[in-house]
Amino acid sequence: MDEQALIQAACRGDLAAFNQLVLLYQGMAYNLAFRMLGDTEAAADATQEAFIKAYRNLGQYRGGAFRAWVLRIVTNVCYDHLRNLRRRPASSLEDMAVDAEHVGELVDPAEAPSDYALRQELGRVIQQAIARLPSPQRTVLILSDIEGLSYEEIAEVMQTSLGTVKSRLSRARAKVRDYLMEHQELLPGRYRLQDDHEP
Amino acid sequence: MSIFRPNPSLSDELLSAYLDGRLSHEQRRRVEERLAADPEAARRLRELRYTVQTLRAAPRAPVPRAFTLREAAAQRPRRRGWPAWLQPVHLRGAAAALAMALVLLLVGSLALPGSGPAVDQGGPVTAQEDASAVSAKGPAVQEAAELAPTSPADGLGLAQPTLWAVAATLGVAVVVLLLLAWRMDRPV
Repeated sequence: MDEQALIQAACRGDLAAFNQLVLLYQGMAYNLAFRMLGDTEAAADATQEAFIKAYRNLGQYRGGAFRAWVLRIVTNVCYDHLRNLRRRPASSLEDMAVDAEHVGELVDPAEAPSDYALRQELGRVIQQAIARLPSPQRTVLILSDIEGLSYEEIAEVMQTSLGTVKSRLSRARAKVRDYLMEHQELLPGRYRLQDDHEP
Repeated sequence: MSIFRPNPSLSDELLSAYLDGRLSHEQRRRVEERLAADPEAARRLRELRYTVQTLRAAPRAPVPRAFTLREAAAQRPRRRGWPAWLQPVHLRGAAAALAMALVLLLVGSLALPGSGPAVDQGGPVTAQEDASAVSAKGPAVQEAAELAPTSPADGLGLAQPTLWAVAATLGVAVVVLLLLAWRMDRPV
Protein backbone atom coordinates (compact mmCIF):
# COMPACT_ATOMS: atom_id res chain seq x y z
CA MET A 1 0.00 0.00 0.00
CA ASP A 2 1.45 3.41 -0.90
CA GLU A 3 1.71 6.31 1.53
CA GLN A 4 -1.43 8.08 0.35
CA ALA A 5 -3.51 4.91 0.69
CA LEU A 6 -2.06 4.36 4.18
CA ILE A 7 -2.93 7.93 5.17
CA GLN A 8 -6.49 7.57 3.88
CA ALA A 9 -6.94 4.24 5.67
CA ALA A 10 -5.48 5.67 8.89
CA CYS A 11 -7.86 8.64 8.70
CA ARG A 12 -10.73 6.12 8.55
CA GLY A 13 -9.45 4.68 11.85
CA ASP A 14 -7.35 1.79 10.49
CA LEU A 15 -4.72 1.36 13.23
CA ALA A 16 -2.66 -1.12 11.20
CA ALA A 17 -2.34 1.44 8.41
CA PHE A 18 -1.37 4.13 10.92
CA ASN A 19 1.30 1.84 12.35
CA GLN A 20 2.76 1.42 8.86
CA LEU A 21 3.11 5.20 8.75
CA VAL A 22 4.72 5.14 12.19
CA LEU A 23 7.35 2.71 10.94
CA LEU A 24 7.93 4.97 7.94
CA TYR A 25 8.52 8.15 9.98
CA GLN A 26 9.73 6.97 13.38
CA GLY A 27 13.44 7.29 12.50
CA MET A 28 13.13 10.93 11.50
CA ALA A 29 10.73 11.71 14.38
CA TYR A 30 13.01 10.11 16.96
CA ASN A 31 16.14 11.81 15.61
CA LEU A 32 14.42 15.19 15.61
CA ALA A 33 13.31 14.62 19.21
CA PHE A 34 16.76 13.42 20.23
CA ARG A 35 18.50 16.46 18.75
CA MET A 36 15.88 18.77 20.26
CA LEU A 37 16.03 17.26 23.75
CA GLY A 38 19.56 15.80 23.85
CA ASP A 39 18.45 12.72 25.76
CA THR A 40 17.51 9.29 24.45
CA GLU A 41 14.83 8.52 27.03
CA ALA A 42 13.16 11.90 26.71
CA ALA A 43 13.35 11.56 22.92
CA ALA A 44 11.68 8.13 23.03
CA ASP A 45 8.92 9.45 25.30
CA ALA A 46 8.37 12.48 23.09
CA THR A 47 8.27 10.35 19.94
CA GLN A 48 5.74 7.95 21.43
CA GLU A 49 3.60 10.81 22.73
CA ALA A 50 3.72 12.50 19.34
CA PHE A 51 2.49 9.41 17.50
CA ILE A 52 -0.33 8.90 20.01
CA LYS A 53 -1.34 12.54 19.56
CA ALA A 54 -1.10 12.19 15.80
CA TYR A 55 -3.45 9.18 15.84
CA ARG A 56 -5.94 10.89 18.10
CA ASN A 57 -5.88 14.05 16.02
CA LEU A 58 -6.10 12.48 12.57
CA GLY A 59 -9.45 14.26 12.25
CA GLN A 60 -7.49 17.52 12.15
CA TYR A 61 -5.15 16.45 9.36
CA ARG A 62 -6.08 18.65 6.39
CA GLY A 63 -4.10 17.00 3.63
CA GLY A 64 -0.71 18.19 2.45
CA ALA A 65 2.58 16.63 3.47
CA PHE A 66 1.84 14.04 6.14
CA ARG A 67 5.51 13.92 7.11
CA ALA A 68 5.49 17.67 7.82
CA TRP A 69 2.31 17.27 9.88
CA VAL A 70 3.87 14.48 11.98
CA LEU A 71 7.10 16.44 12.46
CA ARG A 72 5.09 19.48 13.53
CA ILE A 73 3.48 17.39 16.27
CA VAL A 74 6.89 16.05 17.33
CA THR A 75 8.22 19.62 17.46
CA ASN A 76 5.30 20.79 19.59
CA VAL A 77 5.72 17.86 21.99
CA CYS A 78 9.44 18.66 22.26
CA TYR A 79 8.66 22.32 22.99
CA ASP A 80 6.35 21.16 25.80
CA HIS A 81 9.15 18.94 27.20
CA LEU A 82 11.61 21.84 27.01
CA ARG A 83 9.18 24.14 28.80
CA ASN A 84 8.80 21.54 31.55
CA LEU A 85 12.58 21.19 31.80
CA ARG A 86 13.00 24.94 32.24
CA ARG A 87 10.60 24.83 35.18
CA ARG A 88 12.77 22.19 36.87
CA PRO A 89 15.91 23.77 38.31
CA ALA A 90 17.57 20.39 38.97
CA SER A 91 18.33 19.59 35.34
CA SER A 92 19.24 21.71 32.39
CA LEU A 93 19.62 21.28 28.67
CA GLU A 94 23.34 21.75 28.94
CA ASP A 95 23.58 18.85 31.40
CA MET A 96 21.71 16.67 28.98
CA ALA A 97 23.71 17.80 26.01
CA VAL A 98 27.02 16.63 27.41
CA ASP A 99 25.78 13.23 28.53
CA ALA A 100 28.39 11.11 26.76
CA GLU A 101 26.64 7.89 27.71
CA HIS A 102 23.61 8.83 25.68
CA VAL A 103 25.55 10.22 22.76
CA GLY A 104 27.44 6.94 22.55
CA GLU A 105 24.22 5.23 21.55
CA LEU A 106 24.06 7.34 18.44
CA VAL A 107 26.61 5.40 16.51
CA ASP A 108 25.80 2.47 14.29
CA PRO A 109 27.20 -0.66 16.03
CA ALA A 110 28.21 -2.03 12.62
CA GLU A 111 30.81 0.74 12.24
CA ALA A 112 34.53 0.07 12.69
CA PRO A 113 35.54 0.79 16.31
CA SER A 114 37.81 3.68 15.31
CA ASP A 115 35.08 5.34 13.24
CA TYR A 116 32.64 4.65 16.04
CA ALA A 117 34.79 6.58 18.51
CA LEU A 118 35.33 9.49 16.12
CA ARG A 119 31.68 9.86 15.31
CA GLN A 120 30.84 9.57 18.98
CA GLU A 121 33.07 12.57 19.62
CA LEU A 122 31.59 14.44 16.68
CA GLY A 123 28.03 13.73 17.86
CA ARG A 124 28.84 15.01 21.32
CA VAL A 125 30.34 18.28 20.09
CA ILE A 126 27.47 18.86 17.66
CA GLN A 127 24.95 18.27 20.42
CA GLN A 128 26.74 20.76 22.65
CA ALA A 129 26.65 23.35 19.88
CA ILE A 130 22.96 22.73 19.11
CA ALA A 131 21.92 22.82 22.77
CA ARG A 132 22.98 26.47 22.94
CA LEU A 133 20.51 27.57 20.28
CA PRO A 134 17.04 28.97 21.03
CA SER A 135 14.37 26.34 20.29
CA PRO A 136 13.09 27.78 16.97
CA GLN A 137 16.64 28.10 15.58
CA ARG A 138 17.48 24.63 16.82
CA THR A 139 14.43 23.18 15.11
CA VAL A 140 15.22 24.82 11.77
CA LEU A 141 18.87 23.74 11.92
CA ILE A 142 18.03 20.11 12.73
CA LEU A 143 15.36 19.89 10.06
CA SER A 144 17.59 21.49 7.42
CA ASP A 145 21.15 20.38 8.05
CA ILE A 146 20.66 17.09 9.87
CA GLU A 147 17.35 15.79 8.47
CA GLY A 148 17.77 17.37 5.04
CA LEU A 149 14.32 18.98 4.65
CA SER A 150 13.78 21.78 2.14
CA TYR A 151 13.00 25.35 3.20
CA GLU A 152 9.42 24.84 2.01
CA GLU A 153 8.89 21.72 4.10
CA ILE A 154 10.45 23.36 7.17
CA ALA A 155 8.11 26.32 6.73
CA GLU A 156 5.20 23.85 6.69
CA VAL A 157 6.44 22.03 9.80
CA MET A 158 6.95 25.26 11.70
CA GLN A 159 3.95 27.10 10.25
CA THR A 160 6.05 30.06 9.31
CA SER A 161 7.28 31.92 6.23
CA LEU A 162 10.22 31.03 4.00
CA GLY A 163 11.88 34.30 5.01
CA THR A 164 11.71 33.33 8.68
CA VAL A 165 13.14 29.89 7.93
CA LYS A 166 15.99 31.49 5.98
CA SER A 167 16.89 33.99 8.69
CA ARG A 168 16.59 31.50 11.57
CA LEU A 169 18.74 29.01 9.68
CA SER A 170 21.47 31.55 8.96
CA ARG A 171 21.55 32.70 12.58
CA ALA A 172 21.67 29.12 13.85
CA ARG A 173 24.45 28.21 11.43
CA ALA A 174 26.45 31.27 12.42
CA LYS A 175 26.21 30.35 16.11
CA VAL A 176 27.16 26.72 15.50
CA ARG A 177 30.01 27.90 13.27
CA ASP A 178 31.31 30.14 16.05
CA TYR A 179 31.09 27.26 18.51
CA LEU A 180 32.86 24.81 16.22
CA MET A 181 35.60 27.32 15.40
CA GLU A 182 36.17 27.98 19.11
CA HIS A 183 36.20 24.28 19.99
CA GLN A 184 38.21 22.76 17.16
CA GLU A 185 40.37 20.95 19.69
CA LEU A 186 37.34 18.93 20.82
CA LEU A 187 36.75 17.60 17.32
CA PRO A 188 38.46 14.53 15.90
CA GLY A 189 41.18 15.49 13.39
CA ARG A 190 39.21 14.46 10.34
CA TYR A 191 36.33 16.75 11.31
CA ARG A 192 38.45 19.85 11.89
CA LEU A 193 38.49 22.68 9.40
CA GLN A 194 41.33 22.08 6.98
CA ASP A 195 43.46 25.12 6.27
CA ASP A 196 42.83 25.53 2.58
CA HIS A 197 41.95 28.69 0.72
CA GLU A 198 39.05 27.56 -1.36
CA PRO A 199 36.35 30.29 -1.38
CA MET B 1 15.93 47.94 -1.37
CA SER B 2 18.81 45.81 -2.52
CA ILE B 3 19.90 43.09 -0.15
CA PHE B 4 23.50 44.03 -0.94
CA ARG B 5 23.31 47.68 0.06
CA PRO B 6 23.07 47.78 3.88
CA ASN B 7 26.12 45.62 4.60
CA PRO B 8 29.62 46.56 3.65
CA SER B 9 30.42 42.85 3.58
CA LEU B 10 28.25 39.88 2.69
CA SER B 11 25.82 38.97 5.46
CA ASP B 12 25.67 35.50 6.99
CA GLU B 13 22.09 35.24 5.75
CA LEU B 14 23.18 35.87 2.19
CA LEU B 15 26.07 33.43 2.47
CA SER B 16 23.79 30.79 3.99
CA ALA B 17 21.26 31.20 1.18
CA TYR B 18 24.13 31.09 -1.33
CA LEU B 19 25.30 27.75 0.10
CA ASP B 20 21.78 26.35 -0.22
CA GLY B 21 21.40 27.56 -3.80
CA ARG B 22 18.51 29.84 -2.79
CA LEU B 23 19.69 32.97 -4.63
CA SER B 24 18.63 34.18 -8.04
CA HIS B 25 21.13 33.98 -10.89
CA GLU B 26 21.85 37.70 -10.57
CA GLN B 27 22.26 37.58 -6.76
CA ARG B 28 24.56 34.59 -7.09
CA ARG B 29 26.72 36.38 -9.64
CA ARG B 30 27.05 39.43 -7.39
CA VAL B 31 27.91 37.31 -4.33
CA GLU B 32 30.63 35.55 -6.29
CA GLU B 33 32.03 38.88 -7.45
CA ARG B 34 32.22 40.08 -3.85
CA LEU B 35 33.71 36.82 -2.63
CA ALA B 36 36.49 37.15 -5.17
CA ALA B 37 37.30 40.63 -3.86
CA ASP B 38 36.69 40.11 -0.13
CA PRO B 39 38.92 37.52 1.60
CA GLU B 40 37.06 38.04 4.89
CA ALA B 41 33.73 37.09 3.31
CA ALA B 42 35.40 34.16 1.56
CA ARG B 43 36.71 32.96 4.93
CA ARG B 44 33.26 33.19 6.49
CA LEU B 45 31.77 31.27 3.59
CA ARG B 46 34.38 28.55 3.99
CA GLU B 47 33.62 28.25 7.70
CA LEU B 48 29.90 28.21 7.07
CA ARG B 49 30.29 25.47 4.44
CA TYR B 50 32.43 23.49 6.87
CA THR B 51 29.73 23.91 9.55
CA VAL B 52 27.00 22.57 7.27
CA GLN B 53 29.18 19.63 6.19
CA THR B 54 29.99 18.83 9.82
CA LEU B 55 26.30 18.92 10.80
CA ARG B 56 25.47 16.62 7.89
CA ALA B 57 28.07 14.16 9.19
CA ALA B 58 26.29 13.97 12.55
CA PRO B 59 25.58 10.34 13.43
CA ARG B 60 21.94 9.31 13.33
CA ALA B 61 20.44 7.83 16.44
CA PRO B 62 19.26 4.25 15.97
CA VAL B 63 15.60 3.99 16.94
CA PRO B 64 15.53 2.23 20.35
CA ARG B 65 12.20 0.47 19.71
CA ALA B 66 9.17 0.54 17.44
CA PHE B 67 6.76 3.34 18.26
CA THR B 68 3.74 1.59 16.79
CA LEU B 69 0.53 1.93 18.80
CA ARG B 70 -1.28 -0.94 20.43
CA GLU B 71 -5.04 -1.19 20.35
CA ALA B 72 -5.17 -0.18 24.03
CA ALA B 73 -3.45 3.15 23.39
CA ALA B 74 -5.59 3.78 20.36
CA GLN B 75 -8.81 2.89 22.18
CA ARG B 76 -8.44 5.53 24.87
CA PRO B 77 -11.07 8.26 24.69
CA ARG B 78 -10.55 10.21 21.52
CA ARG B 79 -11.31 13.87 21.30
CA ARG B 80 -13.67 14.67 18.48
CA GLY B 81 -11.99 16.16 15.48
CA TRP B 82 -13.21 19.21 13.64
CA PRO B 83 -15.87 18.63 10.97
CA ALA B 84 -14.19 17.77 7.68
CA TRP B 85 -15.85 20.68 5.83
CA LEU B 86 -14.64 23.26 8.32
CA GLN B 87 -11.25 24.72 7.40
CA PRO B 88 -9.27 27.42 9.21
CA VAL B 89 -9.61 29.59 6.12
CA HIS B 90 -13.41 29.60 6.58
CA LEU B 91 -13.05 30.83 10.14
CA ARG B 92 -10.56 33.49 9.10
CA GLY B 93 -12.90 34.61 6.30
CA ALA B 94 -15.81 34.89 8.73
CA ALA B 95 -13.58 36.82 11.15
CA ALA B 96 -12.57 39.20 8.36
CA ALA B 97 -16.22 39.73 7.39
CA LEU B 98 -17.22 40.45 10.98
CA ALA B 99 -14.25 42.79 11.42
CA MET B 100 -15.32 44.64 8.29
CA ALA B 101 -18.89 44.89 9.63
CA LEU B 102 -17.51 46.23 12.89
CA VAL B 103 -15.48 48.89 11.10
CA LEU B 104 -18.46 49.90 8.94
CA LEU B 105 -20.67 50.11 11.99
CA LEU B 106 -18.23 52.32 13.86
CA VAL B 107 -17.40 54.51 10.86
CA GLY B 108 -21.09 54.76 9.97
CA SER B 109 -22.05 55.79 13.47
CA LEU B 110 -19.42 58.50 13.59
CA ALA B 111 -19.45 59.80 10.03
CA LEU B 112 -23.08 59.76 8.90
CA PRO B 113 -25.38 62.76 9.54
CA GLY B 114 -27.18 62.60 12.83
CA SER B 115 -24.31 61.06 14.67
CA GLY B 116 -23.03 62.32 17.95
CA PRO B 117 -24.77 64.66 20.37
CA ALA B 118 -27.59 66.71 18.89
CA VAL B 119 -26.27 70.05 17.60
CA ASP B 120 -28.51 72.51 15.88
CA GLN B 121 -27.16 75.62 14.10
CA GLY B 122 -25.48 77.62 16.73
CA GLY B 123 -25.02 75.32 19.64
CA PRO B 124 -26.25 72.49 21.73
CA VAL B 125 -29.96 72.24 22.41
CA THR B 126 -30.94 71.33 25.92
CA ALA B 127 -33.55 68.68 26.55
CA GLN B 128 -35.89 71.26 27.98
CA GLU B 129 -35.60 73.58 24.97
CA ASP B 130 -36.06 70.64 22.66
CA ALA B 131 -39.22 69.46 24.43
CA SER B 132 -40.78 72.89 24.42
CA ALA B 133 -39.99 73.37 20.75
CA VAL B 134 -41.63 70.09 19.91
CA SER B 135 -44.77 70.79 21.88
CA ALA B 136 -45.06 74.16 20.16
CA LYS B 137 -45.01 72.49 16.75
CA GLY B 138 -48.03 70.31 17.34
CA PRO B 139 -48.84 66.61 17.72
CA ALA B 140 -47.37 65.42 14.39
CA VAL B 141 -43.95 66.77 15.18
CA GLN B 142 -44.20 65.50 18.73
CA GLU B 143 -44.95 62.00 17.45
CA ALA B 144 -41.96 62.13 15.11
CA ALA B 145 -39.75 63.27 17.94
CA GLU B 146 -40.86 60.35 20.08
CA LEU B 147 -40.02 57.90 17.30
CA ALA B 148 -36.57 59.36 16.75
CA PRO B 149 -33.65 57.87 18.66
CA THR B 150 -33.07 59.42 22.05
CA SER B 151 -29.80 60.65 23.53
CA PRO B 152 -26.72 60.55 21.42
CA ALA B 153 -27.74 58.41 18.47
CA ASP B 154 -25.65 57.02 15.64
CA GLY B 155 -26.18 57.47 11.96
CA LEU B 156 -27.50 53.93 11.63
CA GLY B 157 -30.36 54.56 14.01
CA LEU B 158 -28.90 52.73 17.00
CA ALA B 159 -28.80 54.21 20.46
CA GLN B 160 -25.25 54.50 21.72
CA PRO B 161 -25.48 51.76 24.38
CA THR B 162 -26.87 49.40 21.72
CA LEU B 163 -24.13 50.43 19.32
CA TRP B 164 -21.40 49.62 21.81
CA ALA B 165 -23.04 46.31 22.71
CA VAL B 166 -23.18 45.28 19.04
CA ALA B 167 -19.59 46.45 18.48
CA ALA B 168 -18.33 44.54 21.52
CA THR B 169 -20.17 41.37 20.42
CA LEU B 170 -18.66 41.64 16.95
CA GLY B 171 -15.18 42.21 18.41
CA VAL B 172 -15.45 39.18 20.68
CA ALA B 173 -16.74 37.06 17.78
CA VAL B 174 -13.74 38.08 15.65
CA VAL B 175 -11.30 37.13 18.41
CA VAL B 176 -13.04 33.79 19.05
CA LEU B 177 -13.02 32.89 15.35
CA LEU B 178 -9.32 33.74 15.01
CA LEU B 179 -8.47 31.68 18.10
CA LEU B 180 -10.42 28.72 16.75
CA ALA B 181 -8.62 28.98 13.40
CA TRP B 182 -5.27 29.08 15.20
CA ARG B 183 -6.25 26.05 17.29
CA MET B 184 -7.20 24.11 14.17
CA ASP B 185 -3.82 24.86 12.62
CA ARG B 186 -1.98 23.60 15.69
CA PRO B 187 -2.85 19.92 15.86
CA VAL B 188 -1.75 19.27 19.43
